[in-house]
Amino acid sequence: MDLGEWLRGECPACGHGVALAHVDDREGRRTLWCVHCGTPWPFPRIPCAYCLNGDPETLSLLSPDSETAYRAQLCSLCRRYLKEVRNGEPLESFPFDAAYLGTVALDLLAAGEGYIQESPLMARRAEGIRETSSRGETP
Amino acid sequence: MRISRRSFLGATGASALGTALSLFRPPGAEAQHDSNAPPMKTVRTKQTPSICPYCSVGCGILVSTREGKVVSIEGDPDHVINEGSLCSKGMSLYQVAVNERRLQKVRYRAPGGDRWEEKPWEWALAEIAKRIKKTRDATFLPREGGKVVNRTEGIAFLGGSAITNEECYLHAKLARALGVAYLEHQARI
Repeated sequence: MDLGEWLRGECPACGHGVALAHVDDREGRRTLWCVHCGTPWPFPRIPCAYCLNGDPETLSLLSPDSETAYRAQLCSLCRRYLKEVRNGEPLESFPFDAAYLGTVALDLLAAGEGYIQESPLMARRAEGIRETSSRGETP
Repeated sequence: MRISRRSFLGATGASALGTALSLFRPPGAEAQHDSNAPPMKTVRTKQTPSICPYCSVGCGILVSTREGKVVSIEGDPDHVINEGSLCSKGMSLYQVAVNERRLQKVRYRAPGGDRWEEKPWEWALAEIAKRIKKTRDATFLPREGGKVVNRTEGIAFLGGSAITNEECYLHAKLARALGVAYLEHQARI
């Protein structure tokens, strides 16, 4: 199967939602990663991986101003965010699981802005997130 | 799940992980916000796909902006034409947008002069119009060998690839109205 034609935010192997994106510093290509089974798959740079919104006016990257290679892509249409790491590490050796856990600071930043955590880490418990959740779920 | 040292990304990740773990409390438990850490300064970057303004290949680019200011320009990896790569001119596009050496004011050096002087735009535009009219009237050729040609031989008109499609249309209109035959584009020279 050619994963380049998948173009979805769900894992092509197990159907679980995306948890982290990696952007290759040299070629600029973005790869999504499944937190459930660890499958990586290619995905375009611009669109929101959750709602596939591709309007650049409604998308932005939120990052600490000291470290812009670690950022959260915010979608103001579906109010969800996706963590993204940009570095020169080859895809084969990039530690997705470690980067996913090591970038919890980004979860806090994005949640603090009122965006919804879609991957399993429970930052959604933070105060103020429940009101902005469009899915109406309470922990 | 294996966690290597890299997972912590220095103190930021480690301290944030601790903060995040404190969020794993049962519902109803009192939240503790006793951190003395100052709020982290953040930046928002917008990525906009665009087209390289240079040659007719039309490579896709991604322009990153912060608060309306261009911070980087790179090849669009998802664009069908260039798949992320750019030529050396395209790679230096950032310098077109942000460049302290770029001229901000009209500078004029008189024929035979040895120094530049600053001039207002109004003066420059009027002067250009005046000289074009003068050269056009002096070198206009209505007929050649009994045939009507109506061309201006003393003016060449050069367009640039940083000009938009609509501007190119207007430039070509103007040049043809003046009778210019030597109408060229910078990318073909």
